[in-house]
Amino acid sequence: MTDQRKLWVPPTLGRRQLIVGAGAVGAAGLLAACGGDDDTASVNTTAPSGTTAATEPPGTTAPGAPATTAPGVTETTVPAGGIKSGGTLRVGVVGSTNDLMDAQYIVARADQARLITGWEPISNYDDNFNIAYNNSLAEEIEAVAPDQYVVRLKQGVEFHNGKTVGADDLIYSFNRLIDPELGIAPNLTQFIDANSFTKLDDRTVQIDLLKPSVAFLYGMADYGATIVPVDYARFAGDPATQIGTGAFKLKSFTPGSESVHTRFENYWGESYLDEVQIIDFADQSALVNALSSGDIDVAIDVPYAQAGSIESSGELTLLESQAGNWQTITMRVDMAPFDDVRVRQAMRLISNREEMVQRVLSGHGRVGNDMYGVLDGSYPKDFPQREQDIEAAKALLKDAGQENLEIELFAPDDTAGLPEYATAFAEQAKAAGINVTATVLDGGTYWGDQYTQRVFATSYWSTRPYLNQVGAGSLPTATYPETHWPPAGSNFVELYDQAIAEVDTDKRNELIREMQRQEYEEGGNIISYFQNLIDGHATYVKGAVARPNLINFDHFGRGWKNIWLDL
Amino acid sequence: MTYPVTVPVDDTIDETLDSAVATSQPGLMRSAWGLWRTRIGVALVVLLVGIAIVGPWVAPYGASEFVGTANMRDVPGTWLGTDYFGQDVWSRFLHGGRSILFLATVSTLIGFLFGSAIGLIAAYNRGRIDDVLMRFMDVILAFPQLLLALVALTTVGPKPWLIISIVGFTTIPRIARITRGAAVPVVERDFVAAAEALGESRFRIITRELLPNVIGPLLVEANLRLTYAIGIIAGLGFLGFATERNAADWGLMVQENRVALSVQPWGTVLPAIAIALLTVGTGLISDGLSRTVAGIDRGRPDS
Amino acid sequence: MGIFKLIIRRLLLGVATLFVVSIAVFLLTNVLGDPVKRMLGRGALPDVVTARRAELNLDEPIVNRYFTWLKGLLTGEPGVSYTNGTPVWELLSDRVKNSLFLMALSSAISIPLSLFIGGYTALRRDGWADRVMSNQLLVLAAMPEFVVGAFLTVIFATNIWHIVPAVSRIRPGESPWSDLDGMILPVATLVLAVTPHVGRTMRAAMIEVLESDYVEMARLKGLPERSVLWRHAFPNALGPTLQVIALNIAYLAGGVVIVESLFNFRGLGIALRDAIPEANAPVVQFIAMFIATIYVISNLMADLFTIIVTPRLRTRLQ
Repeated sequence: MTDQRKLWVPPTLGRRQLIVGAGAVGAAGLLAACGGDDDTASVNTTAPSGTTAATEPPGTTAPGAPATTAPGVTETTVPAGGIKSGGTLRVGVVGSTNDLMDAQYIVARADQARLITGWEPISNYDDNFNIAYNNSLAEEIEAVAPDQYVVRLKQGVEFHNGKTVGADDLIYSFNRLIDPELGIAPNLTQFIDANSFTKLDDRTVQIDLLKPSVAFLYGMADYGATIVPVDYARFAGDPATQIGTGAFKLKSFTPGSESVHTRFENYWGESYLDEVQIIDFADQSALVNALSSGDIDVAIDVPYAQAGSIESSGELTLLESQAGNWQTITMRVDMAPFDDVRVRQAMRLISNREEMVQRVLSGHGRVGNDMYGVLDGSYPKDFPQREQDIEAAKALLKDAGQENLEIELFAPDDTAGLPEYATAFAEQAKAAGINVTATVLDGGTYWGDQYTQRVFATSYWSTRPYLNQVGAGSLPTATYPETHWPPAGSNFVELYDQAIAEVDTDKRNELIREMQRQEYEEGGNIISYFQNLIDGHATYVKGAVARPNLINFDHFGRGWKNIWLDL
Repeated sequence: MTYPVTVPVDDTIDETLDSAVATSQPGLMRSAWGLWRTRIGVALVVLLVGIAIVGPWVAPYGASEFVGTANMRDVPGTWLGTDYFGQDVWSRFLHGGRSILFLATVSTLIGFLFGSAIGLIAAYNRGRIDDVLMRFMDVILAFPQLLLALVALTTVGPKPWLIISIVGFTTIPRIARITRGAAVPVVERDFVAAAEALGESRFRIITRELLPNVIGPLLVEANLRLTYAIGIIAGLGFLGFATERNAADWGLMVQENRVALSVQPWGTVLPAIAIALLTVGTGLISDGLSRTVAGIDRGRPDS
Repeated sequence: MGIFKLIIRRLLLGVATLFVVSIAVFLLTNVLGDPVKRMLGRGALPDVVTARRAELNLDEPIVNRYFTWLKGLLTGEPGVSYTNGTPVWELLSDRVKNSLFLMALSSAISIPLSLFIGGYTALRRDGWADRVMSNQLLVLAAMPEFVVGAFLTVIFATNIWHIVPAVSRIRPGESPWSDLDGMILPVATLVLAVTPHVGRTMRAAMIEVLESDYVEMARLKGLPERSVLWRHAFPNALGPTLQVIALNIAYLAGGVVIVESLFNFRGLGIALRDAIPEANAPVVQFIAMFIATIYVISNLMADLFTIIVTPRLRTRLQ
């Protein structure tokens, strides 16, 4: 990211990334309803000429899934000599002394890397955003009804302490997610409580939801929906307590310095490395410098500004994945001036999306169309691409009596891109004759009590299926109702309730389509772009594939098990 | 700690007195101007301040105007390419001198005024006042500057007045100590005793006898402090506290574009050179001044 | 006043200073905001918040909390990090070591170097060496640390040569001696940052002393120049310079967050920067008191050395 963040808030200076702020993290994904379906993902771009298709190491993806490549990315290929085992991988990530280690909860990127290293979720998404089980612990999940699921775990999966993963662990894991003392996923309590689980046998659990949700199935594929052993608790000094099922088990952890993970010999799948070190960096420049000087092998989340310097080095290469992460300018549809739909429409016409991508992302992204859920099969890619149209915007503003609008647009200083997005929008708004002032607030203040209360603000989200995202951000009951959508008199909530209980994919997609149409025409989000995920690594690091992804470095090499060193 | 004061009665005292008083006369500037280093210093400062003032009118683009993909060295229509946010580096440079000059100068002035006053009062009065003042300065110094800055800026936000206050405030004890250190020996000199014997007021003794005799080290320190003030304000940008997001500001520019140093160096190098030249300029001036002061004080021409 | 009496007096003053600082630090960390809200996030239920506050003793009156904290600090129990539950000492012990080492190494190089440069340029005033070095020092003093550091990295570690590591890599639990390579760039940057200040002070002080009456007297008495310099000029010039050195040592011990960030050096500056926005009071308080203590100690040492090396003051004390 073009991280201008401060230290403390810096990424640079290592300010915490507050991924959790807008729910890019696991917990938030679980809470919402779900809307994925069996369609193939929409993002698959055809590989540009000259790009070879990815050859994937075993165990990465569902067989036959088309590999998707981001432009300009060199593919990792398995050489004639085959995969080599052994070695220590040194991974750099921006982190701080505030780092924590929890199997189901994160605050910053470094926490996310460590969670994915140690623990595995119930199910997972494949490259096409469908439910799969190749990187997760369930053998199968049966959706008996929209409010009843049966989870059967893989047989003989061992925890790091030798115990076998069983039904009790699964139930404990769910209960931990909704434990009010921990506050990991409080909104999940609308679907499950302590009585929702029935142990059918040692590795099978039946889940009865409090209310129907087809989204629940997708929630279990979230990387934060992990299985922990009974009595698991957050790291408080003793590495031996951090027991998971991942390919690498924790040897030591010092917040703000590093964690060391050694190969777990009894891992149920395959892995190649002997040891993984996840090293904290206080500053993104230091991170990239360390990669350039060979002090680390992988740099997670390279600033867009430095992508060029990595590309130009023969020993280093970029892993750039088209991701569904989006940043948005939010307009409260229930407050003046945005309670007038014409003002919202005018604002959306002001954004010069191509310029945003060049300016904010240094070109490392795709233009947005005010819609989210881009990796979901239901993404309305046939909606006309909205372009900047200053004249139309002016006319709408004039109709609404807002041609001299003066308004403050807020952004947090701890999220790379948002201050720039706000600043660039303010600049573009001048052309329409209105005066937008971009005000950047300290992250703590921004995400505090006033978050979701501001009339005109910015936010960011990772990607999730459309219905899950609606549940997280676009309902009166949403976790983070940033735009206070839907407006009064809309049937949006009814459509949502029907869709989330609808098992038939086609019927559900029809309902979703109508919801999307309403949001596209009248919604409160200005989504100008989707960001690419960019990581850098030494060329001898193999096994990571550039494909549409939710998480950096090909999902951290799925807990590093796919990664090997060609030394 | 008082020292016996002998009232001097011979003529040499009057000469010393005269020469000491002379340092506060316009002659100081004239003498300093005789030194080549002062001239070069003035030329540099005039050049940089000139760029800061005139720059915004001659810049080819607006300070926050989008001209092309961010972090590119070769962009048609620009001299030096684009910065971290797709803006013209050269135009940003031309726009960026005013605010940092203002913030740094004002905060250094605050520190200089209060610090030298406290140092002189402490040195002249000695005894209890000295103790209390300098202990208080010690507490401020012992209090981690970084903590003060970070806490104040986190809770209040990066307002210009706050940045001026913090930098000024933390400069006070440093200048005070230097001033006191330089003034204590002067207090013991005969001409001060002579002035006291002549019944001059304390204020007059401090401003007319003491100050001119410590102005040399003080100017050197003040110049260093100005340099550091620029550095600190730029550094606050590094820590994420710029007064205004994306404001064109040399200090901030260095920080904003630092990440791209190996890809597009101009965004960092150009403002860094400007800051360096500016401080070299002020450094040369204060150097010239302090030499002149020393020369007059000791009645010996600068070599 | 005998020298021992003076030392005792200064020690007591130092303790008093620290006491005042501790009150200020404690009050200041309370301004930072409520750590519980940040720890639990927006979804937290009110009774969970209340319970957590009680757990952290945040519901007690501030005076009680101050003395509880002070007692803990003095008995070696500075508390637990709010953000991840790690005991403060465990979280920071390596960083204390690293910061002290960085401070010691930077001081050990920059102090003799700046005294030499300052003294030498003063003696050869207006010689070519003086002109070159004075201007060099000015330019260096003018460059913000992060610019100097960034250029050193580009030149020596990443883009031009690969001769030193770009980042420090002291493993947790290991001594900073294990990574002397990684210390090169941070130390070099700090030496370049500190030397101009101390060097210029030394130069000014030395010139002052060289032109003073007693050096003139010593010369007139026919003492050999070497003796004049070493016995009379140098010790007297050291006095004011030591004060500046003390300031710089305190800075090196905990204020170098920028250099730490640039080279990913695990020191106290970064930890302080991390802790403040999270209102992580135990961590902030510990680091602040550590830096203040270093300042008081280095200042005390500076005063003592000043008295020892300055003949005039020494005489006066007897």
